Amino acid sequence: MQSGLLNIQGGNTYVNLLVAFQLFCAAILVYYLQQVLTCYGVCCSFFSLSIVLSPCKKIFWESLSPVTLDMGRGPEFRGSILCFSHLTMSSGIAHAVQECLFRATQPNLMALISTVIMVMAFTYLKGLRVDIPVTSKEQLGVRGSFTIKLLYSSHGPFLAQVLFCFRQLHLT
Amino acid sequence: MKALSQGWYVFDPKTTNILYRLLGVWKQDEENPNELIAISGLCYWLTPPTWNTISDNQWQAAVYIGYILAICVITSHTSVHEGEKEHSPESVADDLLGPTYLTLAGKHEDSDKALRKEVCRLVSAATILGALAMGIICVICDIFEITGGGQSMLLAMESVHDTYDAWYNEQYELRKSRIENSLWETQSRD
Repeated sequence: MQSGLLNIQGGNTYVNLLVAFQLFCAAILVYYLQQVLTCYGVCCSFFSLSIVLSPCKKIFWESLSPVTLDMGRGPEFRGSILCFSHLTMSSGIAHAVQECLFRATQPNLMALISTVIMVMAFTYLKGLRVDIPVTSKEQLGVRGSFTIKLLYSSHGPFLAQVLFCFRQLHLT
Repeated sequence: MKALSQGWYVFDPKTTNILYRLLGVWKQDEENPNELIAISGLCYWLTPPTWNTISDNQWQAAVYIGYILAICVITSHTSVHEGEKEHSPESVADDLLGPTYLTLAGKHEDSDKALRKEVCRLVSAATILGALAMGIICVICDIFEITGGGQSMLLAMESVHDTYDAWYNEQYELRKSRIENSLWETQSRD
């Protein structure tokens, strides 16, 4: 999915129409995906699926993109996993590790590892909770617990302000 | 707001209107020629800092971090206390004490009041601490340049987790009802 700011200064109308058509098809595809997921029992709304889409696309492209870039050292892949495997096969594992972890110009493996670590941290935070022991006034000896989670409130308003203040346009 | 400012700047790069310059002045990024970076204005102070830019201007990083944490706490507080009345501590305590006749376990002088006090205390702490935790995760994502940036990563993971929780609870309910139905059948057969 690609969002494009229509190049007002120089593009012709056919390119702009194509971009608009691409966005339209992307929205249709997301709708179909949501219908398929509903058939399998996963109830997610179209809106939340569209929000999940943007980081998923970035992760996918930054790790597996086959676009090559030539900067004087021969063609290197833009995707980090592909670049790692390519360099391992061509010049040995030590150089590949040192190159792929700390590449400055292109997405590197450090970003992928940090994403995984951050997902684990978020999952850990979601499980933090406090139990209040409660008993029933009607029946004696019944003991239960009422949980209060750390991430107690929902984040609808946060989403609203993100959409209002932090959406970006991209030039084609 | 950001998109509006960017759009206006692309439309007329040499605008001298003070309002638009206050909102944001943009220039083209060297790394990805498809994106715009803010140089000055409100949008500059609200762009997420990274390792590279944090050495240029520490104040921008501080303002951004403060803004994100403040927004998280404010939205969390309003959604619990002033928003839908389902999650506010008073209504939770009333729910527990009223129809379900539950009260705090252990030896207390007045269990109802103790339960109410406990719930209010914990819910207040949970809203603020939870919001701060989310804000810190968001800021760390931005600083370490994790793919997608702080806010979108946070929202995406939260929606994925919510969907997973809903699916899991549904499966649990289905399994429980299936077990109960099978037990009922065996009992009626006997």
